[in-house]
Amino acid sequence: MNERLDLHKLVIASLMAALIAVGGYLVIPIGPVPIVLQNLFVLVAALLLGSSWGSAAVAVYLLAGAVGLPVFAGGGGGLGHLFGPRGGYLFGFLAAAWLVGKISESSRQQPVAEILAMIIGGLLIYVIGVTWLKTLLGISFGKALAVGMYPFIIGDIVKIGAAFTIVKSVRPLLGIARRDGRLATPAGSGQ
Amino acid sequence: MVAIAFGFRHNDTLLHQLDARIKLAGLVAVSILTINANMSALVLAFFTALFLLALGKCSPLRCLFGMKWYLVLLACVLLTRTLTTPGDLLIESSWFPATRQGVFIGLLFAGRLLVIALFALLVTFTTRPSHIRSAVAWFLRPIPGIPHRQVATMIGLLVRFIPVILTQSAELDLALRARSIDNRRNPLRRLTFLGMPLLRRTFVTADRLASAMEARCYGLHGTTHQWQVTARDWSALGFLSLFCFLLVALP
Repeated sequence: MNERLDLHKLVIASLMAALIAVGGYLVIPIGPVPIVLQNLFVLVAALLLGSSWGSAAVAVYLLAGAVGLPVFAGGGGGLGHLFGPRGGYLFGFLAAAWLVGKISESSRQQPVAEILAMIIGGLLIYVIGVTWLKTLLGISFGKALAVGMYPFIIGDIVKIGAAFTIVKSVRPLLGIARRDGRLATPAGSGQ
Repeated sequence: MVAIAFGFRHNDTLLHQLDARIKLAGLVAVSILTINANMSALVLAFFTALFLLALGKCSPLRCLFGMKWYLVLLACVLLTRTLTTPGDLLIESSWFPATRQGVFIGLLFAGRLLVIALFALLVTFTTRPSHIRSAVAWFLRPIPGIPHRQVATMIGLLVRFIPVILTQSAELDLALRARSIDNRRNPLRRLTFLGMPLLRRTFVTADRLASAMEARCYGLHGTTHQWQVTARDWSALGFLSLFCFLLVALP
């Protein structure tokens, strides 16, 4: 039963990694750090899959990018991207996926706790990303915040709302949730 | 970029026949070596990538067109570096402080990213996702603590899922256009009409795929890919080593 469950989680985690990559293709280049939908899918992965499989999805995405597959923002790839100005955000995704998943698991998927978890996860991405950006570009903290955080805050609030809506919509479709018994079986599904 | 980069096209070229491990090793080597590559090495790498794309029957012009968003991103990198690097002014203007040194550094940074993207595109265009998965498993196998088969399977699925998502997105977009939903003024509403069905559809596809894999007793300890290294692969490895040496040695 556990192996069966793991296979479903493995496939969904791979899909989440693919969605994170696709989210990176829709780029709005406004500076050294472009606006992308990657963090939206990182949050969705963490809420749907929990801490271990959610962070595994992000880790696989980072590994695919590190070996050079074009999965990073705009279709880039390679270690140059991973350790470039945006690297902090990419590593921040990993930490955020684990943290958001952990909070969601421990709160038994309470809506308020999940939204709070996403806010904390989003802040964690910025703490790691902005610090990395500041160190790598050798700019002041204020300037790093101006180019690496402030322009994205409104978009991130919208993304948190979107992630919550997506999770609520998608969870009942997944075999994982049904078999875990965390959610009621959808009406008419026959299970 | 996406549609081209992840759309493996079956063909019978020399690049398609090469061992996936050599192609993946080459990609990793190029992505490491171009981090600090100078301009002459980048020019060599750029034209080599274009030549190899043509050799793999992937039109270089089509690739560059497919990479249009990535090129916009690279243009931003170039512009930022041009305007923020101190040096000799190109134009005597206070509102556009472009410097000669800035242009050079901008081209260098953008060029490094472009070269890696072109080589990545080459690998995904000429290598089956199942071969990429096997190559990743082969490379990860000696590293302790990493479930190499699991990670390789996930990377293989990732490479496979991206074109599926994009195809479904294109189908839904056409369906929405047929119903004149793209005429709605509110962009958020349009996005909701496209985004939610697309996500639901991809998740259902993934869930069905997992069930199908279970039904076929798919396990992580299945038959592994049988590698057959030929003289052609060894020659390719030799050329790759020479290319990497040139990337480092060129003045």
